[in-house]
Amino acid sequence: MPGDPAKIFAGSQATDTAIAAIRAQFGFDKPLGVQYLDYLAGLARGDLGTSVRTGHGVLDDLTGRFPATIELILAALIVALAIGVPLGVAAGASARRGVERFARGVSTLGVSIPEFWLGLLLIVVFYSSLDIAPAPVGRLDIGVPAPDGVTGLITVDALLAGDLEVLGNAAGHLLLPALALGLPAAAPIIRLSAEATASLLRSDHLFYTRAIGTPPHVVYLKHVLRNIAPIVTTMTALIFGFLVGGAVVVEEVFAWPGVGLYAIDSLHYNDYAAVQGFVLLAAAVYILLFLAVDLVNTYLDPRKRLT
Amino acid sequence: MMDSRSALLEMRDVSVTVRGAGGEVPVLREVALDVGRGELVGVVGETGAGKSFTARAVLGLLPHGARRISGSVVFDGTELDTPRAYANLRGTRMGFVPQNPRLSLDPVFTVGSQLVAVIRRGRRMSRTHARKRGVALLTGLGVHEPERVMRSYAHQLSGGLCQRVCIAIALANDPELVIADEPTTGLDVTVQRQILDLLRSQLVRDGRGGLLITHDLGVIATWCDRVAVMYAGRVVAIGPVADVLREGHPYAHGLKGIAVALEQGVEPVAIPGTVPTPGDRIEGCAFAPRCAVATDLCRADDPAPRPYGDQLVRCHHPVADAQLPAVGHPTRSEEVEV
Ligand SMILES: Nc1ncnc2c1ncn2[C@@H]1O[C@H](COP(=O)(O)OP(=O)(O)OP(=O)(O)O)[C@@H](O)[C@H]1O
Ligand code: SF4
Ligand SMILES: [Mg+2]
Repeated sequence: MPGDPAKIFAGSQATDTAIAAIRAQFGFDKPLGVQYLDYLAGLARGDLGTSVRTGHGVLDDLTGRFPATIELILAALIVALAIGVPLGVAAGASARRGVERFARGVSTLGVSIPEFWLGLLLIVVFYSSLDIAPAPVGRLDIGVPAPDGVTGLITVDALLAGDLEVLGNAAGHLLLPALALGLPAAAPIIRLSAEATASLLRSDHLFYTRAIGTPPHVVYLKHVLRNIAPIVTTMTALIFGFLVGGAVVVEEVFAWPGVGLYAIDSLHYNDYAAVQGFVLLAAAVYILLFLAVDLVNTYLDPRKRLT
Repeated sequence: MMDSRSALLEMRDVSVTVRGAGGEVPVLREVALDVGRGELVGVVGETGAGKSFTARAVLGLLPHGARRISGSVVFDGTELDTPRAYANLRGTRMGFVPQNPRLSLDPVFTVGSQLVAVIRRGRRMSRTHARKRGVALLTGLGVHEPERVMRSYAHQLSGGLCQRVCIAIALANDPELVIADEPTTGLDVTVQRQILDLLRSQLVRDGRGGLLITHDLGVIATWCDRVAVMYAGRVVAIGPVADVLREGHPYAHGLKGIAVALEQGVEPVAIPGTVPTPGDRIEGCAFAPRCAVATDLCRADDPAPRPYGDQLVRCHHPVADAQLPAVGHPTRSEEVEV
C-alpha cells in the first residue's frame, strides 16, 4: 500500500512535528521488521493494533461491525441456496433439454454479473424507479432504534424481541443487498447441484428407491436432497469466500456498516492495521467454517462416521 | 373385467433404445414374455443380453436416455403405459430384488428406515408397528439380531445381509409379482437354496408369480417353471425349463452345455465367438456368427418366433436333442466342428 498513513491521518494542514508525533504514537517510525514483530506480539495478546482512521482498537471496530456483515452474508446464503438448490435439482432431474439449458443460462448469467452492477441495478429499479425499497443506506431507517440483542443480527434480534415493526424495517433494508450478493452466488450452486442430482439419478440406489415404490415427491424431497446435502454443505463453504469478497463491494454500494465497508474505508486511508485485521478475520472465519463443514458432513454422510 | 386365469404379467414386443454415441441404439428388441399366475419364470442370458433392462422395462423405470419405442407391458389386465398407471404398484403389488443390494440401498438412511417406509406404503400403520413387522420379516429370512440390522446402514452390512434386507423389502407387502435380478449372487449355496425356496414358496401360490433373472441355469432348472432365454436384447426361446434345455434353440443348448460342465467341475468349452453389443450391426439371426447349424437363410433373415413343442423359439432350424452338436459340452467336445 503506497502512501503515508500518518500524513493522511494528520490531515493536509498538519505540521511536520505533528506528523512525527503521530508516527511515534502508532510506531510507524520503527523499522518494518520491528513493526511486524510488534504486531505479532500484539496478536498473541488478542490485540490487532489501533486504527489510524477511527482511533479505536481494530478488534473493537471489527467486533462492532461483524454482525452486520454476518447478517448480510447469511441472508445472501439463504437467497443463493433457496434459488440454487431447487433450480439445480430440477435441472439435474429433468430429462428435457429446455430446463437444463435454462439453468445453465441462469448460472452463466449469475457468474458473469458483477455484484456492484447488480446492486446498482436493484437500487435503480426498486428504490429510484419503483420506490418500493428503502434508501440504500444502512441497516435501518434513520430514527428506528436498533433492538438490543445478543446476536447483533438486527432481523434476528427483532424477531426474538417480537418487534415486528423493526423486523420489517430491517428486512426491507437487508433484501436488496442480500439479493445483490446472493443471486450471483446462486450460479455455482445451481451448476453443482444439477451435476450432483444428475449423477445421483443414475445411481443404483436412486433407481432402487424408485423401484420399491417411493413416491416422486419423497424421492426428491427426502432422498435426493439428503444425498446431495454433503455436497451442498461443502459448496456453501466454498462460496463463502466468494461472498466475503462480494460483501466488501455490496457493503460499499449499500452503505452497509459491516466489516467489508470498514476494510474499504481503511484501505482508502492506508490504515494498515485495520485492513490486516479484516484479512485475519476473514481467514479465521474461513478456517472455522471448513472445520464446521467437516463436522456437519461427518454427520450427514454415515459412511464417514466411525462406528 | 379380466379373466382370472389370464397372465399376471405380459410383455408384448417391447423394444427399448438408449442414446448412444452414434444415435439411438437398441438394447431390447421385441422382448415378449409372460408370467402366469402361480409360476416362477426364469430369465437367463449372458452378460449384456438385456436382462436388467427387461426388469426395468417392467418396472417402468428405464435409465436416463433410454426409451421404450414400442410394445406394451400388461400387468393383471392393466396396460402400464403411463407413469400414472404405476401409481401404487411398485413396492406394493410389484416387488423388486436388485442385482446389487449393497449399492442399491440408500447409503444415507438406515436399512430399517427403508424397510419401514415400504411396509407403511403397503398399509397404514404406526412406525413402531411397522418396525416390529420389519423385524419379523427379517427373522423369517434367517437374519440374526434383526434389530441391530435395522439400525445399520448398508455399508455396515455384508452383501448377504443387504440381500436379505432387499428380499424383505420386496416381500413386505405380499406383492403379486416379484422381479428378482440375480437375487442370490454372492451368497453361499446353503443360503441361496434357503432364499430361493422361500421366494418360490411365497410366489407359487394364490395366483402370484415371479420373474427370476439369473446367469445360473442350475437355479433355473431347480426353481423355475418356465424359462426365457435372452440373446442380444431378444427373447430367443421361451417355454418349460426342461424342454428349452433339451432341444430347440441352439443357443439354449450351448448354455446348457456350459452349465453341465460347471456342475461336473470341468472346464466348460465356451460357445465360440462373442456376444454382440448394442449398436453392432445385426443382420439375420443375431446368433448366426456363433451358431453351429447356421445357414444362409439365418444370416439373411431374422427368425420370427415360432412354436416348437411347448416352446416359442426364434430359430430357423430348431433342432431336436439328438441332432445338436454339443457346443460347450466337454464330454462331447470333439464333435464340435463347424
Ligand atoms: N445406462 C445405460 N446406457 C446405455 N447402455 C446401457 C446402460 N446400461 C446398460 N447398458 C447396455 O445395455 C445392454 C443390456 O444391459 P443389461 O444391464 O440389461 O444386461 P444384463 O443382461 O442385465 O447383464 P448382466 O448379466 O451383466 O447384469 C448392455 O450391453 C449394456 O452395456
Ligand atoms: S436361426 Fe439359424 S443361426 Fe439363428 S440360432 Fe437358429 S439355426 Fe442358429
Ligand atoms: Mg443385469
